[in-house]
Amino acid sequence: MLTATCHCGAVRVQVPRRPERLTDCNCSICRRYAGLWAYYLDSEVSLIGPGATDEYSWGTRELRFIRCAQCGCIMQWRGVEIAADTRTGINARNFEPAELVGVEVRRFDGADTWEFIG
Amino acid sequence: MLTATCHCGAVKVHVPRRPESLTDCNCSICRRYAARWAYYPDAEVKLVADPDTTDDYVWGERTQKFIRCRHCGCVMQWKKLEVADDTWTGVNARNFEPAELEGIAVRLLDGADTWKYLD
Repeated sequence: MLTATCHCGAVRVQVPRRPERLTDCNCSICRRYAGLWAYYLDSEVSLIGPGATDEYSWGTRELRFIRCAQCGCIMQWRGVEIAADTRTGINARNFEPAELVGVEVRRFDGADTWEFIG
Repeated sequence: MLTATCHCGAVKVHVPRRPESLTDCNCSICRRYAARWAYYPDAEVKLVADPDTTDDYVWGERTQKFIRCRHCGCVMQWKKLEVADDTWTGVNARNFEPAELEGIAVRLLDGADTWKYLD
């Protein structure tokens, strides 16, 4: 198990294993958050810090971007509607860097083609 | 002039010119925010936001605040709590249009350990 922790420690996200790869997306929100996303099944992930988060949803409101209400670290995006096969993204910036050594980073062109570009 | 804009548009930061370089820092807060800092004298930078549309994060020795949009959470700027004529500020270049930053070098600052640039 790995745990992502925000800067102030109020919010943690527990995942079952090291990610196989990370995704760096250039869409309008990801480029600003500069999230480095590790994907898991939603049911595999536990966010700990009830009442300590703020959220941002916009547009078609299919996703919630969850952050610590105190320090503002972006922790996770989740679908608004969760099915058994729904995936979620955990912001790997909040893992200890040593835990991610050797994990491949792929660049996703979320701004335009919606294809991986590296 | 360049303008950094948060995702929802509630907060803007005006700067007088393109930055000469950008800084990625690996300290405990910068690595989480994954901010890419453009530095200016504090007096040259103007944050434009209605009252109560930003949140600040301050910790430790409480010498600086990290300012984010209260609605969408985009981190916009760090600013010293005490500002003198020669005080600098950092503007998060992730909020500029990417095309406006083409060709600008990104430097790596080892804020986690040596406080030296790694390039």
